[in-house]
Amino acid sequence: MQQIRFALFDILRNLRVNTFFFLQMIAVFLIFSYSLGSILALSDGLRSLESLRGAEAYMMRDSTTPERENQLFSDPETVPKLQEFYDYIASASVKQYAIWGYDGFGNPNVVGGIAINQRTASKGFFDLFKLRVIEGRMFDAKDFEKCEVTPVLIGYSLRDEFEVGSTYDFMDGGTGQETSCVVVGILENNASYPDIRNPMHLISLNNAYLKPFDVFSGSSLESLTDLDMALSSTIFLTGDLDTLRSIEEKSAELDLFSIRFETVESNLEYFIDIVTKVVVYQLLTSAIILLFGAVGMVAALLATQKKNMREYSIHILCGARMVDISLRLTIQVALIFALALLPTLIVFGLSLANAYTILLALILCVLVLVVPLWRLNSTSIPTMIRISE
Amino acid sequence: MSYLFELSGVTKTFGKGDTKLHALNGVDLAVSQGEMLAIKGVSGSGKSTLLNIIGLLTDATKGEYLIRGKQVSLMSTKKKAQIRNAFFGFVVQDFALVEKLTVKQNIAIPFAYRQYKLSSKEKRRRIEGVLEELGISEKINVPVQKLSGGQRQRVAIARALINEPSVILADEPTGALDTSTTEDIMGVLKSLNEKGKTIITITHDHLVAAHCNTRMTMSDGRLYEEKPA
Repeated sequence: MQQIRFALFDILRNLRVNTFFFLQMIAVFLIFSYSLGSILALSDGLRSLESLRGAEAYMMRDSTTPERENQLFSDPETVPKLQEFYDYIASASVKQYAIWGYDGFGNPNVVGGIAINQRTASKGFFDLFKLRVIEGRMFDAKDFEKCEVTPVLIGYSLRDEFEVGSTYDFMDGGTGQETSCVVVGILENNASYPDIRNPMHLISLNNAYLKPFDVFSGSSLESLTDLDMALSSTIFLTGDLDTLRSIEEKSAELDLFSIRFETVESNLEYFIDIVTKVVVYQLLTSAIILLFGAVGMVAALLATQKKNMREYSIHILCGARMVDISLRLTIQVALIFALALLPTLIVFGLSLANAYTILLALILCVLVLVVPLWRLNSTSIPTMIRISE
Repeated sequence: MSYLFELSGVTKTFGKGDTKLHALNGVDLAVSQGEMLAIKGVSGSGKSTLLNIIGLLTDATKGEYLIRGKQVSLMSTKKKAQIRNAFFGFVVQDFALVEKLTVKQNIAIPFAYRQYKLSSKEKRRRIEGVLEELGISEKINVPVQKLSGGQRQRVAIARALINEPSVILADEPTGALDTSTTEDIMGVLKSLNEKGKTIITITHDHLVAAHCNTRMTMSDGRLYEEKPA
């Protein structure tokens, strides 16, 4: 207890150095937690993509002319045709996943100043990309059945605006109609997925709400836009080229889009390469920040220690042991670290990245103390008293 | 006769091989309750090393050191710290005060390391009592950096007395003071001795040593008793 009081006194007495040290630690922890969050999200995406590597996967390419597209969009028969087409795809029982959504300008759902992006994803998507929740639960099989109140997952940045178990009305980006949705879970910070069709993009779900979609029931989609987006975003995980060709033929037969299948292998390789580079870059950046931060902290601590050496010797004359002084120094660093962690915990909340950041803070606290404590304990008491005279 | 503390054949060696330096060469010393002892000697004679060993700030290389009959070499670090806190009171040349703290805060430092904690009331009583005894009661809330040299040394003495130790170890207590203040501080130490405190003073000043009942001289790591004139 006494040592806590002395440690607080040390902090206040060397306020300038300790404030610098404190601010530096806030920056280190914020940057580290952010980088780690990105790295974890990228690693998750990378793992999912790695699982696709070697597997035969195809995406649809639409080569319909703009004139023909306009024609299709104005034809009231297009929706039932697309529903039939999607049902045909479903009957082919090909392993697949789809995710699409609406965001950007004109987004009708705005809460707390944040425009909410809408994402609709099939069960196959959740099987492939292992998203995690920090509260509530992930979708289960029942959620993919059509129901009156749609279950939704909420992105991390919207966690204060929505409550798990409560029902909210969302304007559907496809139909323009309000849909009643019940929040079943809050996604963890930096939840994201790689867009294989557009390999430069890793789509963040922090500002999104995520709806389930039964890919085997295309007729459940009622808007032309939704049908079009569902089709164009579907990735087929199969090597059965005959089935894929029959899907192309069915589209031609229904007089819909001119589609052809294209392997995603080249996009996948490109994406894996990019993501790997980003992960390495983030890791390097974090390591450099940590290195500079740690060196700065040790320097600040040694300066404080040098300044306090006289007082330490006075305390030793009065009955303190080296272990008391070491404890005092440790409490000083631990207090600054704990306070500097608060902004990170407030900004990024409960997450795996923050759990790692806390672990890092503990390791860093020990590492930063090694040199000052070694110096303190290797100085004899008479030397310490002489230094201070 | 039982001594407060007793050293026999104590040596202290620094360095190794060719650089080996014998700071103490078989020192024998026995101090009884109520003594006022001056240890004189030129710079480098080993008197500060002896005081460091007596004050448990460093260990002897060889020899025996007993405090109230108990072997120091068998004591734990914790026990030694408790003895520094309660059995000895230290007064040093540069006062060893925390400049930014007040007189009261400086005097209270030894309370933090007491084996048996005191109530706030008892702490206050002791601080006020010791300041009264040393004649600096009105300075209780003054930062020590605002005090004169003599007043600072009185604060240092007050701190040394706060846990009611048996022995005051004073290392050149008047080294930073002028002649009149030196007389003043030595008067304080003398008066404490008359009240039963054992005082060990390290000094190179004959006038300071003259205030003590027993005088010894350190030379080349050995201790010699001065015969009374």
